[in-house]
Amino acid sequence: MEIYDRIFYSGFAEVDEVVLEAIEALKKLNIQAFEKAEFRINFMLREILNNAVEHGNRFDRTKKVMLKILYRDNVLIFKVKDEGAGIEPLRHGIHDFVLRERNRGYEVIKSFDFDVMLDGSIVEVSLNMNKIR
Amino acid sequence: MIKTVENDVMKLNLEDDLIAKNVKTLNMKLMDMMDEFDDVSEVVLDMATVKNIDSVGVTFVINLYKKVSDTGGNFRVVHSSEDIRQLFKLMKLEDFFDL
Repeated sequence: MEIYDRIFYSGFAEVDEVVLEAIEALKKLNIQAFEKAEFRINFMLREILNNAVEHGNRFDRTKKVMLKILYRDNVLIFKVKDEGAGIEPLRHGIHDFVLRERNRGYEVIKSFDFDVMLDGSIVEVSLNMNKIR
Repeated sequence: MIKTVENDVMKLNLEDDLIAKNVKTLNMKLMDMMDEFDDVSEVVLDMATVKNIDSVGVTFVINLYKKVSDTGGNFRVVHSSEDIRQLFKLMKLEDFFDL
């Protein structure tokens, strides 16, 4: 089931607006234990959307970011795509600086029980709500 | 960010979320008050109003801690939410300053 679909121009103010809107859309689903996951979902969304704006689209306001949220078998799936050149799937020695910056945030996201998949300019993050206690 | 100084302690009260869209303004305010860190023994960041935070916001706190430490002052964070406290602990920031 698709919960949220939004395309927006690259800016931090837009990220804030989209995150608050997406959280409201998720609240309406009445997913069990959502309130326990709300903070980490909020943090994760800001992380991947800020990265898309900053590292993906490099603050080019003519470029857009896409966010889609799906809910399937008690798993929330967040798909983000930017219009940047993209990075290789995690591999040492490629765009080292960008990877290091992105990895720091992604390490926190992973320790919040999210699964993260990077493929070029697409990031897919999922959260199994059964894991939320 | 509202600044008050009392008894050698500077208190900084954040008025909004600690997120990327707000950090540029906060950094400009920080630049203006950096010289004053020399005149106090402690800087306290009050995060009572902060509900949302991102890694840009976390970096702001780390930079503030570094600037205060560089002048020999003590730095601590007060009134952060339990979620933010847990995030800071996860990032091992409690090794550097009190939460």
